[in-house]
Amino acid sequence: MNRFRMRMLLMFSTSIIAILVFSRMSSYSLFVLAFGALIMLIAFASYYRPAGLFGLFIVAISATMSMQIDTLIETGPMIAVAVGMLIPMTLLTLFALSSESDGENGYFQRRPVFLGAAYIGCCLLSVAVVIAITGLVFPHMSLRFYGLMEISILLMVSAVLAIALTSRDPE
Amino acid sequence: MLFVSAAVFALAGILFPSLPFALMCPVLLGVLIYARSKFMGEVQETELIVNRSTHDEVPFAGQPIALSVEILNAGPAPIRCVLEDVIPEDCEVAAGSNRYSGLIPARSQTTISYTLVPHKRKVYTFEGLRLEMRDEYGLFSHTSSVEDGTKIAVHTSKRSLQAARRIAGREHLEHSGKSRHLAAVMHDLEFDRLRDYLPGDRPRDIDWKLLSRLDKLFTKVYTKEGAIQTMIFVDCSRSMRTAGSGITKLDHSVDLCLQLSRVLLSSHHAAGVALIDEVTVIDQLRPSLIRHQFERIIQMLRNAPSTVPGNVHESIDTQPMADAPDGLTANGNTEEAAQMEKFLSAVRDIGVRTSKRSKGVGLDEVIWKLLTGAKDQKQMIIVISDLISSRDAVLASAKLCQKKGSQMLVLHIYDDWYERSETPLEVGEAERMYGNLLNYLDVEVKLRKMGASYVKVGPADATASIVRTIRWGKA
Repeated sequence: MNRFRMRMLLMFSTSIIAILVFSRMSSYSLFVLAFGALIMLIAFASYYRPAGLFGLFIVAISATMSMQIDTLIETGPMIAVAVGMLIPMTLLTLFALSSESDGENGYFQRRPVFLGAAYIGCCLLSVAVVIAITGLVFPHMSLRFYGLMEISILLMVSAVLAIALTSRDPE
Repeated sequence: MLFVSAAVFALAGILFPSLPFALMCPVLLGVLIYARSKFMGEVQETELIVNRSTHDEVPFAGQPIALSVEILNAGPAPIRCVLEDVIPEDCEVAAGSNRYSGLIPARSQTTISYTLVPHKRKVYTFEGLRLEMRDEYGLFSHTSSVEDGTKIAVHTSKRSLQAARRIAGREHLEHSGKSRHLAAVMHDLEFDRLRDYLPGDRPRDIDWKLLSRLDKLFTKVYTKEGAIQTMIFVDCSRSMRTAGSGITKLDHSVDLCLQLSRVLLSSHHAAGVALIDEVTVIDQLRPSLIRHQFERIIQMLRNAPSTVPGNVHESIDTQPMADAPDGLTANGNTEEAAQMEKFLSAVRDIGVRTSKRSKGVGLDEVIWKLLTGAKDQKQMIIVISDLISSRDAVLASAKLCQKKGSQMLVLHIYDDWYERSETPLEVGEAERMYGNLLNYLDVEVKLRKMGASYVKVGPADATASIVRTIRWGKA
């Protein structure tokens, strides 16, 4: 096994541990997570990407179901969700997609990393930013944000940003 | 897949109001954006350098050509791709594969080797490679082309060369006349004229009988007679290049030229070849008897232009030739005909002649230069043409040959015989063909009056039969 795959495995195990640490897993969720992780490992070992993505899907369901978070406007839950879900799931997605890859190509680009990280960061902070802007624009207005409202803002911002960032075609 | 997963999680986030589900959507989309941006960077950094080479010095139609395509990835990023070398029309891959699939590391090279069989004599242009790039994660692909533009001139079929060798062993052509250069076929010294004695003349050349009668010394002047130099002109004009349904006129002309030059060289005639179009000399090789002259002719004939699809009968109506002052006109029914007429009139305008000498371009100009350059040396001029755009030039050249005492042979590639029509002959078409026949009879009479030989050539006429016709004096 080459260094790249070793590093990927290390990344995988760290991510799984982070998910386990920051979530409240029931035995059922734990079993599902283990099953998904096993599929991902088998797919990685057998260089088969579709199975890796299937495993990722199972792990993602398990991780999201066991993550207890109600709002994105408080820093505590925000950090918990970032460290316990967003970063590990991003790394696990890259791990699943790299199942068929056999090594680093030695060509590193900063721009994609920056774009990806900025996008996820913007989405995470989107609810807080919208509330802050609303508070600044309408200081006398008393607003109550429900969970569904936060979800709507999050999804809308993520959709708009995704469209904006993927609109340019390669020349 | 990632996008669908993101949509599913977004939907789940809305249906079961759950923030973690909704948060999976930006996670997956973030990875998608990362992968896309990375792939775009790789696509923009891609720099492929293609170098194509063939191992065959002279490729022949119908014979396999070994091709090697070296692809250098000069960019900083490795390329995961499927590369396909786009092969030109009328070619097929005989062995190997013109595709490559895999990873080309940065600043490294890969090679595609395969064997190609071209079906026709033609200059084949390789447009380049079709490049289908894929990203590292199997999410995106991008198709582009790497332009190349390598040209490989494929010669006529090897059968033609074999036929040339066979005919050269059987048939011989001999044209003798005044020659400045020594030739292998050398006749005895022929008496030419008498001139006044000059100190230094050899005593055996002095006419002693005249001395007794006229009491004055005269010297006999002899000329060497040998095989005269022969230049074969192949007309590569637009009408010759136009391919009908059967054998193309230019392909047949190239074969004839190849075989005639072989016959002439084997008969120790210095032979040369020139390829001409309406206005210029495409390439020419001076008559010579040096070793490898035939190989040089083979190489040179590779430069003959490719045939183009079309039907010259639709574009040129030669019926009004007699009425038209310049002998040719187009019927004007089709756009192609209008184009042809415009083209011919442009050519005629360039080749305006004056009473003093030919100011023509193309054939008559080059023949004029050849004959005036040869001083008093006789030349044999063989013109292979369909006489559509070069009719006037051939007549002018024949006149010049007559004036200079050179010989001329016109091998008339008879246009109507090369058109193999699937439909039965209609009255209009038959009338047009009859009109052509009358016009070309008129041309033949004019040429014969000027001392030129004339042979009508059809697709079934082989070089051996043409050589025999010339030898028996039927030309």
